[in-house]
Amino acid sequence: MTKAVRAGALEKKVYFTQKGLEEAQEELLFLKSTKRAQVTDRIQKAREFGDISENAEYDAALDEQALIENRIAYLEEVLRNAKLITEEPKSDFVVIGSTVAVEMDGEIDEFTIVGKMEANPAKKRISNESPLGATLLGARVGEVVEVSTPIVKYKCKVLKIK
Amino acid sequence: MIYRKFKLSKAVILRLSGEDKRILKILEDVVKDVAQLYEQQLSDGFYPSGVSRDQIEKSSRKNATLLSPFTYVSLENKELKAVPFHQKYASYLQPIAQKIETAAKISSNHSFRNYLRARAKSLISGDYKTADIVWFSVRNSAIDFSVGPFERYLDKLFFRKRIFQAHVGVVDQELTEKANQIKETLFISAKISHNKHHSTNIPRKGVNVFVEETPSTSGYMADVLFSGEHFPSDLEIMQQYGSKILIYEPQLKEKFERVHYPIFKSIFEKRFASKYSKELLFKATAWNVLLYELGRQLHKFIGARERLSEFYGPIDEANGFASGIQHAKNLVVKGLISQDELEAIIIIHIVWMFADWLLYKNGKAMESYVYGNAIDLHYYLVSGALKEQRGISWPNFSKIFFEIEALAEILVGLLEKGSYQEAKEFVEKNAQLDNFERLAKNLKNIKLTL
Repeated sequence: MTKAVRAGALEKKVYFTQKGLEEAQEELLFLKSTKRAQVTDRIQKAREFGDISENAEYDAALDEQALIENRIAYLEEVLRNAKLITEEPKSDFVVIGSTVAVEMDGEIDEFTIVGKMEANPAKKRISNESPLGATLLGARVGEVVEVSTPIVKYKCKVLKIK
Repeated sequence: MIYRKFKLSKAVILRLSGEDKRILKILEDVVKDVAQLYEQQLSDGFYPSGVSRDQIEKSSRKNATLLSPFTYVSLENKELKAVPFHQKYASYLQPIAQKIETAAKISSNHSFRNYLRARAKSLISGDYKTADIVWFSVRNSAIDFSVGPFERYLDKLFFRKRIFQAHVGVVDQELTEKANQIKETLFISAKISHNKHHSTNIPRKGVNVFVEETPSTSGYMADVLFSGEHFPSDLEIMQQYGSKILIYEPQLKEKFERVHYPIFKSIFEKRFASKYSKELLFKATAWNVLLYELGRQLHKFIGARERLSEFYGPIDEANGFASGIQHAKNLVVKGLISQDELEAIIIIHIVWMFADWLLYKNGKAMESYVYGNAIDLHYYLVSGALKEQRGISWPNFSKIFFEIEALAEILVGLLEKGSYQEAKEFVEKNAQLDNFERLAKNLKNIKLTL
């Protein structure tokens, strides 16, 4: 059985494990309560070094401030749409939180499907919004799904769901 | 040009401690000194003039050191003699080693200090292997540094003798992290698989990837403006002690600006080219280098170089790009790179082939690069994945990808267990340089200056 799913349709909800949610909340709190003040202080000190047009420390502090504010805005947006995964992953079909063993092009791979904030393919955690993650959701053991992007097509057989 | 100096970014400068800055200053000086040594080596060559390959081969049966990668061959009283580099160039190497020792004394990072000492010692003793091994064990250093006879490309007779080069780099943490994510994602799936040939060829001690800002480079790597390099070249050392893939960010940028981007603007049809921003293409250039090196790393087979002899180079080169991009599909489906980025990587792969062609015509790229690229290009043209129409018109990405997968399988098969005869037939049939001659008409206006 082959199920063709076109990747790309992103969900509004951002899924989190309890641990992932706490980490995102802690990061936001740290950025707003500590880091923001630190960088403001750095900018102030850099100003005191003199001419700000030739002041590398001042420029770098401003860059850092922009990065922090962007990250704060991003985390606030994500946390507004956060949805906690409360249920234990089922073993009969793939859900967010499932660890899945699959066979793709003769290679065996194993990973856990998580929300995008917790995704790190290098650590075997792939996002539910990635082409592979989105396609596998709902698949059962033994099912063959087709991951399809405009360039890449992959047949992927679900071997095990944990 | 044999010495290059680049400006470090503000962010990197601010990350350096006072100690780092003092070490960096000394090592920059060393890199500059190596430029003179390189110049001397270029003027000396590796072999005495008027002596043929056959004569050297014959004499090497009695004296194997004549073919050592680290000796200069001289002719004295009608007899060929091997002079180790560390003796022939002692007047250059001794002051360089002293400066490296001075830098080592400043370093409070134990592993980096040990490495600097080993590197300094290698220049005096000629034991470059030990220095390389210690290099792979350096941890938590913001600064990276190399000096030694590394690359063999200028030995036109035997492709063995090495030429000196040096670099000092500061690790770009953000890009290094991203590069390692890509590497890990590819290697995880390679390690788990049982029936793919690459699984067993990942060095036990791992492959370390670093993206570096290089305030200065010299010698061969500066001369040809290498975007990245993979150390060591000795496969047994690699298997036992791991390896190091370095991407030289400023050289990559320079080459992109001077060579790759102008070629992109020249060979693709205008409407198509307008879809891709310069920023995206530059990013793709960096990932292309990384995928190429990882593609080669994943398919290193002991004995392949000897078995395939002169056809190893083109096949290894063609496979670097084909396998690298083939593996990238894992990155796309797992969400690590986007669809647009994969398209840009494929575009840069095409651009890169033409860049190598131009550089080869100017004596700055290896013949094996061009033959390897010619194999890839031939596959795309024959299948209709690439079409010519006043430049290359809309490439058919899914067709290119299909061809890349088919090609990668053949190439890996040849590298793993192909015979010399099979490799010969494959290269002779597919490495057609006339495709470059024909398509390079669009490159006439590009002024190639490295």
